[in-house]
Amino acid sequence: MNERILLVDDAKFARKIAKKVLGNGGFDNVTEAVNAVEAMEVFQNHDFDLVLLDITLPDNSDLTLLENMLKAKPEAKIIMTSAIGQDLIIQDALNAGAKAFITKPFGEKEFLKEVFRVLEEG
Amino acid sequence: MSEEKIRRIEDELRKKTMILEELETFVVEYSFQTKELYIDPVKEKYIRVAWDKQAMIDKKIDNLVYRPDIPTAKPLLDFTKIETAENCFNKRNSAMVRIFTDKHKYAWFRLTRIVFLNENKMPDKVAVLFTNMDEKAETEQNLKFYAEKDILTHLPNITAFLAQAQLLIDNNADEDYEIVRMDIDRFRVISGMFGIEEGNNLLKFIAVKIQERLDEEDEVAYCRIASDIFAMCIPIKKYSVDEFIESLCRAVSAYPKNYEVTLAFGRYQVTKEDREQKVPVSNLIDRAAAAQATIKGNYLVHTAFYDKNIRRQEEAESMILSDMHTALREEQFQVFLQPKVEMGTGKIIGSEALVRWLHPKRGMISPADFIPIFEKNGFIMELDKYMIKHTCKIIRKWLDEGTVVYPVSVNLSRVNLYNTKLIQDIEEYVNEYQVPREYISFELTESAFSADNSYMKMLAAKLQTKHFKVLMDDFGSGYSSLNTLKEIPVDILKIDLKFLSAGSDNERANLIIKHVVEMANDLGLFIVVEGVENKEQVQFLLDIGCRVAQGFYYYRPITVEEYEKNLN
Repeated sequence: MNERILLVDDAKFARKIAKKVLGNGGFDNVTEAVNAVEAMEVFQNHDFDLVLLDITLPDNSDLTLLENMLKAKPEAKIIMTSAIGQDLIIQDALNAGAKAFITKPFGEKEFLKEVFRVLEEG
Repeated sequence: MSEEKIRRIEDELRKKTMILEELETFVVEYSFQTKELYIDPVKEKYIRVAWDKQAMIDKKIDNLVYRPDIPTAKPLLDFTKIETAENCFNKRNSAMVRIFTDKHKYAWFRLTRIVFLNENKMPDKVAVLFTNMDEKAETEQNLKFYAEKDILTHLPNITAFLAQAQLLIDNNADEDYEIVRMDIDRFRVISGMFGIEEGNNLLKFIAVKIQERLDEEDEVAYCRIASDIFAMCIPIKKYSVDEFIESLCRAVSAYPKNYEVTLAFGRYQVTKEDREQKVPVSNLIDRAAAAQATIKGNYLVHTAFYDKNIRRQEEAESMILSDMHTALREEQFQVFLQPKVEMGTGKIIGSEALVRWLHPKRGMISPADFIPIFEKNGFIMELDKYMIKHTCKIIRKWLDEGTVVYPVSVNLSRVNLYNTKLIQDIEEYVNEYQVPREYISFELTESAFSADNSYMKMLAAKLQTKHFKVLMDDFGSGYSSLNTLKEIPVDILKIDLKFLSAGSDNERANLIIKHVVEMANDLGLFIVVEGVENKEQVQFLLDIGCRVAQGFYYYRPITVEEYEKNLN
């Protein structure tokens, strides 16, 4: 599959797992970013079919980066990921424009299901 | 071929097709003669992705098979491979793989490869059966997953951890390991107040943070043992455990919540002896747990190392546990008596039975060393029973010898709150030794009262119904002394001076005692003051209306023989 995916997470372990699962699903074109500044720069300078964005980054621990990305490219498909599974956080992210919210730890099948679903959305 | 024969063949074919459909199976067949691939149309029922026949013949199956399963699928889907006659019969060519059923969906199928031979016993066709196993496989995969993983956090479970950690320690002689046991302070309170779901969210969060900090590839092991207890086996040449702990605590403090989360850590470094003696990892976790126990309830210190002191304590505890049954059987436990004295005259008017352990090898073991252990493991109930029996025996002996008998009070541990046989046992001994009930009474500690008033009330009431006097021991030491006094029927209050006179403000303590004595008198309760150590205390107590005391000023706990001598 040729979809371009931007994976934003400061934890090496989390990026490793996500990349492995994406690879299993046939997604080989994955760009990584480890903080908000790097993510925003890469996002603005390249086109991505999907962004996987962890809520908690060293320089961004709320929905600001999500909001900035959507401001820059309103059509962007962004899935939030987080180890914080609280309902309020999930709802806030979806209200702010995220297409989905995946709580860690996630199962491979559930993760890919969401990725596939969001990519297929118009 | 005759029409009859053709009809029979068609019939057979129809039956076989029905059977395959029933088994949710379709066939892909390759002919070595024609070099053509045939795909059973039934395939469309399960797989809506178009298959490129030539790509399949060329072994390009990336769009057909889920990537991790490609290595497994390739030999089965290698249609052009000429099998030797031997291979056809010797190999069982079957495997479970995930096949894309839609552009973005996959399901489990069992692939079974069968080679058909011609009249010359040479491979003629190869068929691969695709059997839909998705439901069954999903269950099997889940079972396999959950055999090794913790359902909530997806971390390895304790079984997997023990095996993994053991492997690491056994196979990496050049690396040193530390076992870390971690839990969340007052986790039950957090779940209780904020709900199980919030508690679970917190556990999942912590699990993720552990995984983010310990890379599996660095030969670490970790797991959630149960509830809020996690264990880790960390190679200390690759990691600083101090930094790991600090980093983890920082991450947890960033978790959005309205309550404080404190992690407590017990640490144990695996030694050369542990490796030589092949000490199981479960024992190493126990040592980390023993270290953790030393900081339980300590709001300032959150990490503890297992050290020689803890080891000595454990060994002492182990000795006590291994000898306690023998001690009971061989009557190594002795009844000592601490006299209660009428302060005005100095006369003995009663006593409290106290246990001492005369170990044949270790000598006298103090109750402080064994009572807490017996309370933890429940053996205290046996010991209390023993003390009741032997106290009855002593009173019987006094009665038979004509010795003047003053009441003896026996302690009942808080564990006895839930002992439904207690009253029965007491009555049995009292009846067996024909001890008049006014000569034996029972002391219940106030801290036990606070624990569960309803049971305590029931027990005290039952004892009184059976005409035994009830003493409340250590009055003033519990959480709700006044409430306890209101609720529980007691006959005698024992006030321990050490609770009230600890600290520098003796005047304040004295005022409190004075008013407690007044209150007790107004309630019609008898008072015994314990812990009396000097003449000044005696004078003060007499001035405020106390009559009876127990303490080192008068007598330490003494043997029955010494007690009898002192009576005379």
